Amino acid sequence: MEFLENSWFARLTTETAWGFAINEIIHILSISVIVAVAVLYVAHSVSEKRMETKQVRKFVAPFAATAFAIALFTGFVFFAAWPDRYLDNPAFLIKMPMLITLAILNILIWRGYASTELSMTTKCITWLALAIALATIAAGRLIAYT
Amino acid sequence: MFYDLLAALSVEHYAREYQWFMPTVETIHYTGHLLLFGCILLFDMRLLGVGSKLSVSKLEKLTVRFSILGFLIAILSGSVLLLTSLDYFWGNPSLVNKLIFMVLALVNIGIFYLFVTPKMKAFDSNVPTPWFAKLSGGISILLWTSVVACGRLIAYY
Repeated sequence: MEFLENSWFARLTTETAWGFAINEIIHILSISVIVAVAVLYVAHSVSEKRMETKQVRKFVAPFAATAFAIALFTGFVFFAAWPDRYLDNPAFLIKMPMLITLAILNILIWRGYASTELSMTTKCITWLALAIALATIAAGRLIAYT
Repeated sequence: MFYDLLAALSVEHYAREYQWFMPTVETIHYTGHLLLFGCILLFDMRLLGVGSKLSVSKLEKLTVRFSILGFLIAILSGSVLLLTSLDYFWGNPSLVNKLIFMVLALVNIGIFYLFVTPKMKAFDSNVPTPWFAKLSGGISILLWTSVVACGRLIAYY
């Protein structure tokens, strides 16, 4: 783990005054897009005058993919700075599998949105994704307390 | 005088007495902020011209209710957070900046509803969004990003 702690991005976080804050802000902003995507899918799936599913898919997918990539990278920067501390943190150990599950559910939703009519399975997955997105926020916030 | 009024409403003892009080309120506050910012960002990106085939008015209807919900959650939980450590938050430059950016962002929303919404039908879908809608969306992203950033920086003062 020493090589991680000595990496330039880890040192930028631990040794500069603003490295941690900037990384944290970018991480939070990317998570907010992930949450908004989950909300939008749920809201769309229950709305009466529904927008075309393929258009929603085309609009939302790039945001979801970019936000996941940024969240993973900024999260990894935190991890690299204090790997031992994070591996001992129960909230972090809960957050990681949830984030991976959320990414998988987003892929399933993306596939479900390829057809013009939404199946019941896809609708259920959108709700599950929203619940996991909210739980991910909670776990992320609790990292500082555990 | 306002400080005295807030001090009388202090919930500092709850924060000291109950271990899970602060993490719970903070998590709720974050959830509100993320909901608010995320939904606004998606709508603003549409105003900036991303996904021009998607109906602006329908997307607005979907995102606005969750933005309002997020805003209410953030305001209520933020007030509770303020009352947990009033001396710490009172005069904190980041909190002052956050509130200023928030007021400016709300003014921008007001301007949007006064001047852009009435013309929304003209650029609802399959048409490039006009400059004033793009300007409103761009300003909104900048202001709400500043709100989130200042909120995060409160802990550093």
